[in-house]
Amino acid sequence: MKKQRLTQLINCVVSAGLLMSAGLCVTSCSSDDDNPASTSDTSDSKETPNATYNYLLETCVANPDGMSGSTYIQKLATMPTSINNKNGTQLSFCSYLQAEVIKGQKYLFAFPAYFAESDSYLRRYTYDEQTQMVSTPKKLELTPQNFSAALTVVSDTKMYVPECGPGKITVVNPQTMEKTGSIDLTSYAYKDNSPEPSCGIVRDGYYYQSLNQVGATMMPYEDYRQCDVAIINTNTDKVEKVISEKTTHMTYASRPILPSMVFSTESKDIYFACCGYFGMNSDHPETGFICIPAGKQDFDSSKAWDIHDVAIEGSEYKAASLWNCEYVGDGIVVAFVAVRELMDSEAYTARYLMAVRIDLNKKKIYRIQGIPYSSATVSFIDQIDNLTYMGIYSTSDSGFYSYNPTTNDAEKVISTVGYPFYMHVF
Amino acid sequence: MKQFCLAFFLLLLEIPLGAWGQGLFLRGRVLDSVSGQGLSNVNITMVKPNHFTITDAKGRFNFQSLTSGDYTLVFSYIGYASVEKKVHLNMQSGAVVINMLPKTESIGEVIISGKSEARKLKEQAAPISVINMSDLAGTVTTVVDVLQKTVGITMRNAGGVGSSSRISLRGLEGKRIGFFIDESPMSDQSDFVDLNDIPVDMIERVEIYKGIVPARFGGNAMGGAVNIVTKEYPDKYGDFSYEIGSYNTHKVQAVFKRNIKSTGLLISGGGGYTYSDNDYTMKSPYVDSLKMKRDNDQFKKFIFALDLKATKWWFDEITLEPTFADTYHGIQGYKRDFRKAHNTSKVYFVSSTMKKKGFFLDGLDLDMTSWVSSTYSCLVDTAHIRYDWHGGMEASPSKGGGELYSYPSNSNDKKTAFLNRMNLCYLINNHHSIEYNSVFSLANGYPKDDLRESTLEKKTMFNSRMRSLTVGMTYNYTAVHSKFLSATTLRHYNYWMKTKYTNLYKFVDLPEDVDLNKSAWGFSEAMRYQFSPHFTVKTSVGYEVRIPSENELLGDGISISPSGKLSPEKNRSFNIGFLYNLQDNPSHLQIELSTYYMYLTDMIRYVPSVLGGQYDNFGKMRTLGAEFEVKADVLPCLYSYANLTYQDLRDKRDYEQDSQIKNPTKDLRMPNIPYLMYNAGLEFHKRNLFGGRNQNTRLFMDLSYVHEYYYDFEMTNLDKRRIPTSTTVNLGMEHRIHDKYYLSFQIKNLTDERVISEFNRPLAGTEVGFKIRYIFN
Repeated sequence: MKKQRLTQLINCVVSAGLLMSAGLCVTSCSSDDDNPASTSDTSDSKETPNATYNYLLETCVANPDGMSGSTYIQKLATMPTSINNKNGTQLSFCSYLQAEVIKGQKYLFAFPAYFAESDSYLRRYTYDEQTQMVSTPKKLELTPQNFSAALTVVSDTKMYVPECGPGKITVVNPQTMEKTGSIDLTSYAYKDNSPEPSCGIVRDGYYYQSLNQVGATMMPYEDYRQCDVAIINTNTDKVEKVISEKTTHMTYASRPILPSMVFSTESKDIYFACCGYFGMNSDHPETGFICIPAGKQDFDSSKAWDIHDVAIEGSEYKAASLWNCEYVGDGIVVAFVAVRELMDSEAYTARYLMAVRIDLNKKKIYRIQGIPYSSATVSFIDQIDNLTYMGIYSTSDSGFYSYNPTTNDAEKVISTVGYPFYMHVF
Repeated sequence: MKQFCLAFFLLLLEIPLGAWGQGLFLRGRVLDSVSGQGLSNVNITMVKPNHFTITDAKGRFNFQSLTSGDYTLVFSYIGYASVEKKVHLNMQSGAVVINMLPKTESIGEVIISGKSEARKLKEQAAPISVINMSDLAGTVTTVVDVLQKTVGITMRNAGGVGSSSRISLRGLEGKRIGFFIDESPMSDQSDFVDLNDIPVDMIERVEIYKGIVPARFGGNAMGGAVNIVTKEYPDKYGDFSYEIGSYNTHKVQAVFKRNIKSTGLLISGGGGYTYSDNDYTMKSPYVDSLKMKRDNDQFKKFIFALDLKATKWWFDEITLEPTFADTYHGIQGYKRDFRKAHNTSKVYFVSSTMKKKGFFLDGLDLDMTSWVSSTYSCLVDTAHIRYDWHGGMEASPSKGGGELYSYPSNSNDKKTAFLNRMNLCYLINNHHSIEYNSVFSLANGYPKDDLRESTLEKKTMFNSRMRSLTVGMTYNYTAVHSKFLSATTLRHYNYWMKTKYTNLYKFVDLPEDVDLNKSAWGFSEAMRYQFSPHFTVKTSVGYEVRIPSENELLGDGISISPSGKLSPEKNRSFNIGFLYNLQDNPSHLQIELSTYYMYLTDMIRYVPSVLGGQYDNFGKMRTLGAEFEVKADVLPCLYSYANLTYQDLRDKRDYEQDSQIKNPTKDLRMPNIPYLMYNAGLEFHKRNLFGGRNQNTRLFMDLSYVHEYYYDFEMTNLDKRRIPTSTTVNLGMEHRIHDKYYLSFQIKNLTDERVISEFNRPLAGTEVGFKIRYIFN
């Protein structure tokens, strides 16, 4: 028994924590009184109009070696004004989470740690609202060093899990968590053996999978400054064609860890947000949006928008890289952009992410006032009803900020201990 | 419970076997006539019949297999007047006690004595643990085995034979801990030498300095140092051993020495070959219920050295030692099943030592060591197929192959290094002495990996030139009767580095020149007061610094960016220790308690980011610790020891780096560092245990306990990820016949405890080993 203690311990902690979090995410406010993750001594709460929601918060704290640490997830019935990690459940350092509702069932998917030592399991946690119980997590072993951090639900029985490392998409039945197929993309790789599939989106029976085509430095190839997208028939799981956007020289269409960098507008135009060289290569500053218009299966260069030379209203700087974004409707994108002038020699501790509002229709960018510059380690953005929430790790505080795209009001809503990594409201 | 049963079993064994003793033996102790302390390593020659031995750490010696009669013993030791003693041996003979007088010469009113005396006095003031290998012979197979038994030390192993080992001393590890062989620093530039590369049979003793490091070591150590002192063999000596162990492990070692007295030349040589498959089965840290057999951890090492020593030239001693080592080591996979990646290295090393008493000036002693080395190391990672542990395969990410990273490697790196360590000691009189110490090292690196460069599409590794100089002055004071000793040291460190750097993420920029110069001062004071022959108090304070390492300053050319602004780490320490030593009692009881405080600032920590990371000065750590050790000869045939270490390391940063965000982990225990551990052991030794004559048998048992410790900073009240408690038991036996044949047998980790090292690396379970050794002299 003793010999198995560590594995059991880790498994139990991870399982129990996620189960608790997943389960508690969907419990009512009153039932949360018994929830150790939401006891009042570990957080300050305030009643908000969103009080009927359940908040899942994820924070990360690094160890002294910088390469390991802990992720803490906590569930709270009401939006807190501050949280610590005393009742947080530990996960692997910087584990990415994704919540999905499939066939009316609420699931929480946890990916293997992206930047740190971890196993290779994709875990799925299920909440049964009838019994108020949660099932044992189902696990699916992905390829080692898969660099998976996002998935796309295709149907009730199918989801695509891009594996950036080996260059394939694993097809999974989300209900059984069984692997049902695999889409090999290695033949589309440029110069190497993996085209680095990043994030994707489904439209009209086709899945549009971005291929990052990066080299061993994890940067786009110097002689291949274009964006490739594989178009896959979701019925056959076959690649029908690969399209390329070559005119703008924008690269890196969506980051593998940030699925919101691929989005569809109300008119079904698909946009890929391209971060380029992360602002670290001044010789190739192109960054912005490329578009596959509704009804077409190819890029429309006229709808692409390179934002690197666009003035940002309210700021003296311009965008060196489109770091992360969230489409909030009506042609408005809330985003983080990297500012090259703030990337000093201590690039890894500098706060160089600026929160901006991007108007795709007017082709204008505005700095969101009231949200400080943030470390690049944190770049969370998500929309909950009419508010956009952003994770900020500035020089003076850490936490989640809210932004109202309609009123342009921004304020800090939750102080966190550690990086504000993820937030979800069920 | 199992371990206590075993201990009890051994105790039971001792009772009937104690009556089996046969033959006569001549034993005794050699003491310093001034201080009353036992003298270690004193040469003792028995004239007829011709036997030779040396004293152990406590000054004890023992001749075995003798018959009644008269014997003449000659005791000699550097810095002391030789003593000749005639002894009549019979059944009633007791132990012989020899008092040796420090050698002094009167020149006018100035009293001058040997340098070794000054050095010895200084060592006594510093916090130090000394492990005499003669006490452990046969009970350990590697230096790591030795250190693991030592209070205040934990060892971080990565795997099987040949795997890298890191010393964690009072919670500090890595480059903060110095590693020396015969006082020459090995950890700065000579990373081709690992602790386990040194055959234990060639080691005289292991010195472990805690808290402060004597200036003569130079180097760049901050939290402590391990100095391995190699043996001085008798004039005519040969030693051959072969060891076979689990997982197809074989070790062959041979040493010879010959003194050509007419010329004053001593010629000695030695070599060894180690091979291991290291193919133990381990539970996967990453895949549930998967047991996997290590299949790419094969280790081969050949090492050969010559030693030419002249004692009749102008120097009292001048040596020249050429050494060659050739190593092959596979790279074991954990997440993936690596099958081909491996490292190789070839090292050519020549060292020279010069010692001279009265070096141009009466009372001035010189001790200088220089070495030059040339290292060729290769990382070969060109496999085009990657395997998982289920047998699945896929193409490597790069067209050039590679199992380890996203790019292949086929390096041919060359490094040339030179080191000079000089110690000048001037003993003003019996109470005052001063020492000058300098260590200069030079290392030029010439990395070359065309395959990697072609894949990365740019050159990321450049030639480098490193120079460092550490200069120290030490003043030693010895009060009357040596009751009070003091050593005050001031050191200055200098480090220069020239190389180039290129931003990995840009394509057209030219490499930038890097020209770094770092310097810092350090200070330490160590004192000892002997209240009685049995009770001693030691205390020391230190302000030590560590210059950032190459890797920290320059990065790795891929994911770790340079950080030329790094400042040296600084450590303030205070130690106080109490030693109770009943040396004259037949039980030889020794009790030692040490407590210490350390405050480390500008701690260098890695800062990760989306793309790689870099090192930064933003750590502060406070350590409070206590170490307690008891050693005793419980019975004439039973030796036992036990030690307990408690070290409380806490994060003391007020804010997160480069911000006013309060540090959420302030005052929390530092993760990944054990804080409570103990060791205990028993050794039963008996002559002619199995009958016959002139035989000696030792049975031993060691127990090692490491309490569960934290995987991360612990912030949550819920279940926590912790590295589990481990308790390991080792058993062994050594049987010696006529002081020539040695047979030893060991079982490590008797209970097959699952032990996990750092980074979730499972270590081997139960291992067995058998060794035969023959000594001819």
